[in-house]
Amino acid sequence: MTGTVDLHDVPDRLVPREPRLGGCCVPVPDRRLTALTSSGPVLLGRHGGRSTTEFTASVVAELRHLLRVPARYHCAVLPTPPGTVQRAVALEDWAAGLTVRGEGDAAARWRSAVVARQGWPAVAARVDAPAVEAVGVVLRETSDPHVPVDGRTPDRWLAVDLSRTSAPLTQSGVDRLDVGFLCPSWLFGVPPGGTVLVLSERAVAAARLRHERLGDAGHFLPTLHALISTDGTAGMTDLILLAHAVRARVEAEPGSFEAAVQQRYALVAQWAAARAWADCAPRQAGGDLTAQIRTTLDPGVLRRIDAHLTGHHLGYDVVDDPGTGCLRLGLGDTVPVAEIERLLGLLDLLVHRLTAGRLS
Amino acid sequence: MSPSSDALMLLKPDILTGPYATCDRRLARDAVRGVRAAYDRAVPRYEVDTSAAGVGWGLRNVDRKVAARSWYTLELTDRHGTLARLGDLCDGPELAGDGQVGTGQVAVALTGALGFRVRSRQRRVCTHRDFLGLYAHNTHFTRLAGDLRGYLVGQPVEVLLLTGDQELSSLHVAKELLRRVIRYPTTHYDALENMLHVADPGAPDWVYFDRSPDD
Repeated sequence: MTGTVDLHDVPDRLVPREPRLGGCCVPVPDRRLTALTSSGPVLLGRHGGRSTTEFTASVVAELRHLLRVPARYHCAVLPTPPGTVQRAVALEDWAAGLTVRGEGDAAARWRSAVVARQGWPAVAARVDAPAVEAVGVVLRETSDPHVPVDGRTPDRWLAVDLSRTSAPLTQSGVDRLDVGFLCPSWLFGVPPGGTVLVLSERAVAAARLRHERLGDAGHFLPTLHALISTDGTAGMTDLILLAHAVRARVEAEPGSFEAAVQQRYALVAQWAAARAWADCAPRQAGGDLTAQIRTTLDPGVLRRIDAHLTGHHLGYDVVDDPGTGCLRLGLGDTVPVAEIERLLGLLDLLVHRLTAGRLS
Repeated sequence: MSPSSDALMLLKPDILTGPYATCDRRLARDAVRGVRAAYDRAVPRYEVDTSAAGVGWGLRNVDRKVAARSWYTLELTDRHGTLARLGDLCDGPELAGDGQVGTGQVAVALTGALGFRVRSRQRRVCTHRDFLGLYAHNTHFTRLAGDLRGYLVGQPVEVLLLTGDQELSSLHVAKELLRRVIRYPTTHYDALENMLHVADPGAPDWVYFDRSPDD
């Protein structure tokens, strides 16, 4: 029989003030929201016009600089999530035999998109497609240290989902990729929902050719060409938030972001190492921006931890999945260290109480 | 888990400090008249010209809640005696005369007139945990991170656990009329700075403060 725990059992010093500490959350700092009031009045509410066009171009230009995007590459901020880009890649001629690397949900969805393409003959057919190796990688879901460092070659096309990793800031540039994309939320502390997309010169040319060859069907398919030419850019609110976040990254000390992530990871790893029921997984090759804590906790205990954290607004999405026994904590620099410390202390208390002291 | 008390009332920061920590004694008497009017529906003579409208807003809200909530009632245990005690409070020495009176004192006096006794009264600085204990389950979570937190966390509150053989609704009625007559007499606007909190039956916030030590 396990014990119980309620909010009044938790000392205030262990109550996180910031509930967005889990693996699916990124705190958006107050200063981002303030940016809406400082930059918004000249931009929000306008439909097109020179100022909005120039502003959008400036955001993309600064982003290109930060991510070291070569001049010949295309860069855009899309109003759709990364899954849309995964599906668009799967429609490309060169991606007919795309091999997707990764052991998680995102890679599985991408593989499904590749399979789905085969069920539509008009789309599945390759037209004058070069015989190439096509590789898709969900970086946060692969432990292969050579990806994507070995990069693209004339015979290998490489598309990499860089979301939830620090790789865009810390690893060799996107010039080694044909398609690089990421949800900006993890890297910049902005709301999710959009995608930063980078395409190589040959990927842009292939996308245009693919679009033309699809004929009328091309107008109805979310191809890469459609994403960069007709579906527009993210909304102005998201662009303003992103602009301020990118500027903050540009002005920050080089390496400070990864140092902040490492500091948080070390804190979590040290905590887990001292507990027999917890084990902190090594960070993935691309620099995962969450820490995965594998536990030996009973799924029922994890469900109760999840209910406690979520129900009292103490921590969202910390329990990754009760079935897998994993906890996941955000490591980005918008997650305050003091809040991680509170959460870890709270987890200790919850585990102690819910296992009636068997584990602590 | 059931609370050990018969009611929970929380005095919020704006009834303990600032311009609404005290009120004109005439307004206090009008508030008591308003509570009584909720039950006998008489139209008393108010002493302050804003009070009739304030009571009007209050009664409209009370009637709306009676219609919407099964437990919210205008029944009273010992109706005759309760109305008499409200009359005594209005005409008695505690609220007599001119000048100011503590608004929290008026609230506590109203609970007594309704038939409740203060079992414990604890003044504390509202912690983040107290804030979540109060509102994590009974307000839209979008308010949790914003103005509501700023209103409460780090500010003084008083937690009153009450006992008494009376309808819990009566405290909600008193809360409503006190807010309207003293805090917002000229508008039906329901601001978050609203002086008093009374727990609903079986509400998690009641259990929380019933069991929660001040840390």
